[in-house]
Amino acid sequence: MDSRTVAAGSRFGRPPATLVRFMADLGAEEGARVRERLSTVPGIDRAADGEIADIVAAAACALADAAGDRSPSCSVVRDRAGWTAVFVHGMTAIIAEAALGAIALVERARGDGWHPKAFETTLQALRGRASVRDVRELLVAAARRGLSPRPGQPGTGVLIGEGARLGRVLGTIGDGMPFAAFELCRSRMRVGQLLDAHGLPMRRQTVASSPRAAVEAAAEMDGPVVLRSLTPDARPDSPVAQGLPAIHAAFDDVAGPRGAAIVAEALSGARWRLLVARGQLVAIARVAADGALTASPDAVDPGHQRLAERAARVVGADIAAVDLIVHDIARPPAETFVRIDDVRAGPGVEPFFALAVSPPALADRLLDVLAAGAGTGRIPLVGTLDGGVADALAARWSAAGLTVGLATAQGLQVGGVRLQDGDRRGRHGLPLLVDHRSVEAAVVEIDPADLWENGLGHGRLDVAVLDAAAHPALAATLAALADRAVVAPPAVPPAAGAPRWIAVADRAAAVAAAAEWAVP
Amino acid sequence: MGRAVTPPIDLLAGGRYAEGNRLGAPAALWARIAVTGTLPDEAAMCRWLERLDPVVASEYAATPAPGPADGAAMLARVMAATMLVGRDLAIAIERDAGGALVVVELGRAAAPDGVAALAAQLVAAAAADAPAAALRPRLAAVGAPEIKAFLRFANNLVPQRLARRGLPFRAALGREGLLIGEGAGARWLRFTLGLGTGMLAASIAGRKDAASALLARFGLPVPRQLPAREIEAAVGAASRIGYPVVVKPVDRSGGAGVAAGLTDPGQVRAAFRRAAAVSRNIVVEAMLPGEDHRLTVIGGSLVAAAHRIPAEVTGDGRSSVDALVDRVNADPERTGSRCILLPIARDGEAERVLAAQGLSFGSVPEAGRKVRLHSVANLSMGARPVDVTARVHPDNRAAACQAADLLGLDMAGVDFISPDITRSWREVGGGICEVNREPGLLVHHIAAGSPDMAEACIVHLLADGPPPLIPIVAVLGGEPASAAARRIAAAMAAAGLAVGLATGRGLVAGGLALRDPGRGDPMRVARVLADPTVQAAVVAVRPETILDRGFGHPRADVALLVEPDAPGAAAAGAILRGLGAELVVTADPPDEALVRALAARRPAGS
Repeated sequence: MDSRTVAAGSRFGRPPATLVRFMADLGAEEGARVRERLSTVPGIDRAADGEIADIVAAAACALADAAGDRSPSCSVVRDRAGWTAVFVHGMTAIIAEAALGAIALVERARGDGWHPKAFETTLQALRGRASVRDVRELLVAAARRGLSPRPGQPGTGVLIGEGARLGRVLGTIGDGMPFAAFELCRSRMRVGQLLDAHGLPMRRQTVASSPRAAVEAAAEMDGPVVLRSLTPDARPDSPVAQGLPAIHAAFDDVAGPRGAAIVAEALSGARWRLLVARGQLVAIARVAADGALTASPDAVDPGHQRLAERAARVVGADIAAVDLIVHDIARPPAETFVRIDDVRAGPGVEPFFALAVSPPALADRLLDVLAAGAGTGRIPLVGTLDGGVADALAARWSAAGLTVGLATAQGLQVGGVRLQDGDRRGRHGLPLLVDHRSVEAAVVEIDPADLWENGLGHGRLDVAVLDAAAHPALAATLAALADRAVVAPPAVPPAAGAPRWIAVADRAAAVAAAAEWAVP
Repeated sequence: MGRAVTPPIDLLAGGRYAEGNRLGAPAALWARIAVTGTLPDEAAMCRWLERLDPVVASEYAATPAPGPADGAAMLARVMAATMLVGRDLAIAIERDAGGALVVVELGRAAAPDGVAALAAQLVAAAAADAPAAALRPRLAAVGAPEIKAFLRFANNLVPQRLARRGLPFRAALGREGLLIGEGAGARWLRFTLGLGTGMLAASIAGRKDAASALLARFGLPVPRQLPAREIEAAVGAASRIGYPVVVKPVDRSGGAGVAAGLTDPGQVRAAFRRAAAVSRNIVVEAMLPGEDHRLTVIGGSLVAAAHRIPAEVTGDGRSSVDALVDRVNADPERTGSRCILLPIARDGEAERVLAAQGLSFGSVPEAGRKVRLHSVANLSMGARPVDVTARVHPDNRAAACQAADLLGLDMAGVDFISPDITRSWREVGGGICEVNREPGLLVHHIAAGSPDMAEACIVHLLADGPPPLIPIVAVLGGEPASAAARRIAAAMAAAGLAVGLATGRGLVAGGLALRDPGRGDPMRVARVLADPTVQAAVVAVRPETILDRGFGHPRADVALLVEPDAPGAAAAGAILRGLGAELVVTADPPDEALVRALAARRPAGS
């Protein structure tokens, strides 16, 4: 087997694609066994009646899908040398690994090494190698909005949008999450002090830096206590403790490397986690004793909702999970017991998706916050085979006051400053321009051969300028990637059903038409 | 033990005023005193404080005496000196036959309520010429917490400008944080870090290796960098990069653990050891050619640039380097309570840098020779900045702005190395060696002719979002005031505003009941105005609360007196008028027209 990845924006479509070539030659009996064994795996079952190559492709897709890629699609072609599967995928480059896993899976299914959990085992190994572990529903929602989600550099999460409308998302942390708010929420004590100073009902708590101090603090609480880590989720809370031996033991369990723990009053009541996005409640779930989210309530009094929303506002987090301990969440705060227990900035939300009536709707509400700065996520993008058109268009937009990114055979420049020398056409320049947050409009010169062989490096253009260098297949690819096309004869206009196009007489007219069409 | 003498100052009573009090807008301490013994004379007081703590002595000397130089003035100045802030604290003294009421603006203090007693004790000890050492622990427990003097100065830059603009602010999230403005219009700021600085941007900028890799991807000029987990790996990295090199931790700031200009493996090993003392994440970096510049970018634009000259002395042909350093360090800008530069340190790094120039501390450099004492140009290492804002080449300017943009920082301090900042990096080399997520204000403030960075920071902070001030109506009186406040609040709510309301029934902000600290506590006003949802506030306050404990906020738009003849009403109204409130007096419950008019009030200039 060998594989090759083609950049986003290629003859295979807008997302990146992986081409996997492999041999598959099974006897009838072996084939039947493989079909029978794999037909129970969701995602593979639908290919069970097909060729063995279809089963491999379906298994690879199912593995990649389960490992976090977003539902890759596949087409399989047979030639004399074997099979070529073209996987079109979105976020991750794990499809080649998934194909390897799929082939290994088929190998096991044909022989004696088969085990009903073989798919799960293969998946676990693949998950360990997946480069993107962000919330999948958010990525799907981003793709649905045309925000071109793609992996950023290590530590920067996923990039959405383009240039000056670029956003970064790491889990539920976007560019709008203030550093100060995130830092604050790492300290239960500081959050507690802040909310208390704002007059919100906080659980009583104090820091103890020794077992003896914990016992003294508990005495001041005048009742049973719970010992907790200084940072949410560092360690589980202790059981309710009362008396010297129990508090000593709890302190030893909970105090981390800093040798300190929070002594908090023990409270009765249910714990609820309220997910707040930009000051609005978007989901709520009950927190079980083991920390798992279990169910949504039948009714929530608006007072509790307001309390959680206010706590999130006070700490300054755009997405926060606020834990309340409440006797009866259906009754107003004035009529029942309620305390704020924790506030997490940029919390984990996967369990909320599992409980959500409509995961896509929840993803949309979160994405509204995470991608708030990205707006439409689009900057004007023009691709052209003519370097002269690229230069002229960049000059025209620069003169209009835009910070223009320009990638040509001569190099890459942003805002008139040459940043890189050498050939930066197509995939060697466009990905840099769409990832560069200063770029308000981008023009890229395209290398026809490289586009055909390796793709453009980004999944879309506003306008493709076609000219004599665009032979029909290339023109069709470019036109498919662009919303509109400018055609300078003798290039062939896009076929019917393709994007809007306009024929122009010369380079100047091409520049004028592209500029007019690309600027929103 | 000193001689047993009558303490010169008898502290009769004392306490704290919240913001908005007889002194004016700032929170304050008050002390009622009687002078009962012999005071030390001014010189003796200064000498004794010098023995106690030279920085406190320096601050005492810098604090102007309010009115006659008597015991009250001395106590007030000592109180101010122990709450070191690096600027004059407001002082008011009301003298009468029985003594004096001393009111001092609240500065930094570990235990504010003990400041007056400590000051009286210090005056007594000075009068008795008692040993100073015994009182140092008490000073540490009560007075200003340990903080570098020049940082105190930096901390004051933003508050001073806020005060000049009439913008209220208060400490939040620890002493370093400021909550600027009111209610829904408030902004949070810690030095130059506001809520506009994102978590992702800050965490990338906090890792110099990740930030450098990001900038390198886009072709911005950054030095080649290799990680080094252990000492010989660092030597190997240096040899692959080529000397001279820099060794630095990737996750520390202020020049900590950074050594530049290393020219051989021995120096690299020594530098690695120093870096390893502060971090486990160390890189070896190519040494960019040129001088160190700080380019500060705010909101996508370069607002100031300074050439940072590393600590250096100039030879006179007679004095040793040691003596020359003494001379530089004696500069008032580098010493005392209001210093803006740090002294040049005589550390191992200085010895290494001297040795590289063929010198030691005992050497006598020839007249006019510039002698470097540190390889890095951080203020914390004794560097001195010179403004070059108008001279930065557009390419260098663009590189700095793009670096801030790429990291996603709304405010960034870009450390740019260039042999000549007036020429493009593409022409003369150099580049970005670091991008700081919290650009200091001090570097540009010290550089003469530099733009006002504290002001630029405030302008940026206020550029987006709602106005920082919200309408505040204070209603003075008892239950009738509460009733009037509720009517005004209802009219504001009807106009679509989220209202904060403090009455005898409690506190409500934006529809949520807040815990009430108590009817006579000025914190209830502060609490309503700190709520992030509140777009207008109406607070019913008893006159005696304002007189005895302060209003709880440094300004108000309107003060409505519904019981003008009640005790203290006129005096409390005068205090609110002093805070900028228009005084409206009505003997009867306000009619509907007045309620509507008050509900429609907006802060001046909004």
